[in-house]
Amino acid sequence: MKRREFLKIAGLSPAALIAMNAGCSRTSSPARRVIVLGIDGMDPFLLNSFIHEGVMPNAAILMASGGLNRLGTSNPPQSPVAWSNFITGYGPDVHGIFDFIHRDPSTRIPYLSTSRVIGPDRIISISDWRLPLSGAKVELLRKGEPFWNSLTDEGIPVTMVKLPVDFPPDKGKAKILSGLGTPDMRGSQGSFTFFTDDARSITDKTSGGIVVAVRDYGDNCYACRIKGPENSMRAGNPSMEVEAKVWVDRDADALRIDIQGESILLAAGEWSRWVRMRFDAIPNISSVNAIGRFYVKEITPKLKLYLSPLNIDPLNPALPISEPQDYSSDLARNLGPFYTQGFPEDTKALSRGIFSDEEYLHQAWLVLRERLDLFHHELNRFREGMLFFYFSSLDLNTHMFYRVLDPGSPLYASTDPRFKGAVRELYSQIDRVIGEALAARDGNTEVIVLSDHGFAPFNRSFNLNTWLAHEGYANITSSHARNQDMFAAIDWASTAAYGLGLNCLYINRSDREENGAVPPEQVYDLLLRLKQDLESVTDPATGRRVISNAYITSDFYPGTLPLFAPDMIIGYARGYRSSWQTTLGSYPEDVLVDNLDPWSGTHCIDPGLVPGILLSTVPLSLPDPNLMDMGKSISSLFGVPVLPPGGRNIFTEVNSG
Amino acid sequence: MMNAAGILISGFFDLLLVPFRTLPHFWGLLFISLLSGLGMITVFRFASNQNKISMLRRRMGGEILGILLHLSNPGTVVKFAVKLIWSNTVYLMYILIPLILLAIPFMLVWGQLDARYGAAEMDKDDPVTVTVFFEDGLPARDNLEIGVSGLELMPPVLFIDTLDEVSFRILPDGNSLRNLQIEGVSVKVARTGDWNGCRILRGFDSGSSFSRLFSPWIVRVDGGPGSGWYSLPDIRYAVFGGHWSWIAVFLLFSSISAIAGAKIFKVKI
Repeated sequence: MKRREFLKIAGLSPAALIAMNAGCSRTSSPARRVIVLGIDGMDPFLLNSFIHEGVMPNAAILMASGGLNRLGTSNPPQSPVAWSNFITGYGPDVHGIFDFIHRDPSTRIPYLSTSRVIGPDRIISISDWRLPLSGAKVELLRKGEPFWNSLTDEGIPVTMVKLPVDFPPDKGKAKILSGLGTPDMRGSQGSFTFFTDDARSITDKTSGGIVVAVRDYGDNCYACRIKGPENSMRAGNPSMEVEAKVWVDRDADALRIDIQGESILLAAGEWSRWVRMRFDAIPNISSVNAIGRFYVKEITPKLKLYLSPLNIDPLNPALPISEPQDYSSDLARNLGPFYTQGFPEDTKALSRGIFSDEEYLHQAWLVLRERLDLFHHELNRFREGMLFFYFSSLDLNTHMFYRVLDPGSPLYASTDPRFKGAVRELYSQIDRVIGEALAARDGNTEVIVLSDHGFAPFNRSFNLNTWLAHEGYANITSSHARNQDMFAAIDWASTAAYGLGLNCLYINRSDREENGAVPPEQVYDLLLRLKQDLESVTDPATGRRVISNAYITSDFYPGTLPLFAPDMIIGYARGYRSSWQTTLGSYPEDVLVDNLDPWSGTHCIDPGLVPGILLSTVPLSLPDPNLMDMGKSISSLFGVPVLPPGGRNIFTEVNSG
Repeated sequence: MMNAAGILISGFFDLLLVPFRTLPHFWGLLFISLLSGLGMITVFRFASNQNKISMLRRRMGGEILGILLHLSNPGTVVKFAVKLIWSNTVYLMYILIPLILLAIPFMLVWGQLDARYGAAEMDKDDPVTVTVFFEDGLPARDNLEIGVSGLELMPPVLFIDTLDEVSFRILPDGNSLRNLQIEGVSVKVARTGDWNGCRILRGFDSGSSFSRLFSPWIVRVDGGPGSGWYSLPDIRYAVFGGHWSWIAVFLLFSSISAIAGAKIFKVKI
């Protein structure tokens, strides 16, 4: 090409591009926007009642345009299952999430259902050092294709903030910040640390956190060792630790925390800002960052210092919490550090008595305020495509304060009347969020508000494994073994079934479980008998049925099920749920007991009793929307040529039936 | 004398950073890092015996080649190895003098960068903990006088008898320059100016002035309780997708600039 020709083309090309672009802009419509608010646990009955009380004027506006619809939830109606239904458009038979907890079919060892860590392939051992030759990986166990791929494939921008059951986040073109299912730095779903010299606080062994005994040797100083993540570079994976020196002044009722060159002064009753901590795997060579917040519960007469679960630092994440990877650091740079763990509200601290109701609500408010800052930030820069934003506050706070709504709760009378309005206040906060989303509307923006499930009271705990033992389906070896886990308590050779997780029951099959007792040909008959027996269980205290439906999984989800799928899903009646002990396979003494834990609301019951909600600016054309329909329906609003395969399009399809 | 030197050095860096006053911190840090690398390679060039270094490098190259060519003859390999170690020692001696000469300006630059880019400024929502050490023992709780200007003092005041320390919290109040008055002594807090890249003061001390040449984030006071420090958080700089301390940014870019300078000006190192 001659120089003159080249210059001609080079000069013409930008002009041609501008002209083409101008042509396109003349013919194309303004950028389409859909704002989806995922409000975990928003209940249709409560919502309706608050709308009628006038607490939720913005929800009322939305209800007027598209109606308040009950949104069909998953079976079982647990958040990881329900949000996976939303993401993939299919049920657990496809995405493989049946419960918070699954178990190894052979060994029966329980594990978290949503993600797992895979260690490095090869390691060099030198003395007690372990040097990995390849990196460890975190694997998302949820299967199925996310619905938003049909949008990003067409170049439509998608942002999913605090997306549940997406840790580590799906690789692709969508911008994602992981939500529910994201662990803390200790690998748990949230494990606080409580430093105290009050011996009475040190006796409780409930899970959810670590209580560390500390002592003042007369110099007004407490050496507090903060246990961090496990050090996989040392034999035996000991925990990495950071020391904080806590100096107290009892006259001033204040303390100073000196940690890694930083000093933080706090008075009793105060929260610190986020404090960055560096845990050294190999000093000065390899370290990981974490963030935590301190709360001074009490200084006089005893020190009671709470440290939040150590969160993954969004500025410098030790594990993948966003896609692209710098999305979380971009947010942290703009807004400061924030809770990254999936369950940020510390319900365990309240259940364990570390927090009072008031302290818990304050912490929950800190979480919500951060979440609102994130929401405002994303809403302000949202120009095109889909913005999904997830709020966890309503779910966890309704779990903890359902006792103030239900006079049937064993804790109703003993709860401080000041907190009677806690749930209402949260609904009101969420209504303001809906209002902001509605205010951001233009002629080409739709707003959809949905929840994964509703709520019901949790007044009585059902010990499923104890019931199985009473009815002869399980054989407990000795009475001493009762309060131990099932591995110590059970004679497997003569046990037919066991419960694990919140709604799951498993047959002890001889072709699947180690020392399994039930031959495959007897499994279905056994399930039919169990179904009949379970559905006839009544509570002697109330005379009411405990279980509404016992679903045989292979009947409910016909088709090939994964090997780890439960054999039966227990749909409890309103007011009942499996006990906490059942979820981990224990066998307490009584079958039914009052639930005296502040965790007084539940949704892990029969799915028909706890539907979610759907409010939308787009009118619905089908009467019975389901979470599985939402991906296809949202995608249809963008007019993409290929819609995701799962679910139905509830916005445009006419119900032929 | 040392005080005047300190003022002059800080003033010189203030002047260098004039074009970057309204830009994000990173750009000033990058500029000083690149300039330092070039400055250091220039000083090295004039302070070192370039001919000797060049000769030694050639000799060491020859000795390495000798080892490689005579691998089958252990005696010759050992002979060349001994020569190589000796040449290397002589080489190190030749570069030692310029390195010693470089150490002082390097430490001065290090201190200035730490003072300007090491700590975050005060945030209006985030109280800063101030700790004051009383050399002559703590005053009585009721007798302690703390005054503030451009700041808000947040109660309570914490006394730690075992350390002879008092701690309290401050918040910025308005955009003015901030001062603390403790036991009749006035000290500046945090920003020394209202531009990006100005020194951020992180403490005060009544000790010798010489050490403060290398730690310009500490302001000298006459009299008063003794010393004090403000707990300001570190800044992390986003570079190449990571979040680096100013030290990492400085070492990376000054090295790049020094290597580039050596190539351009043909400096033997």
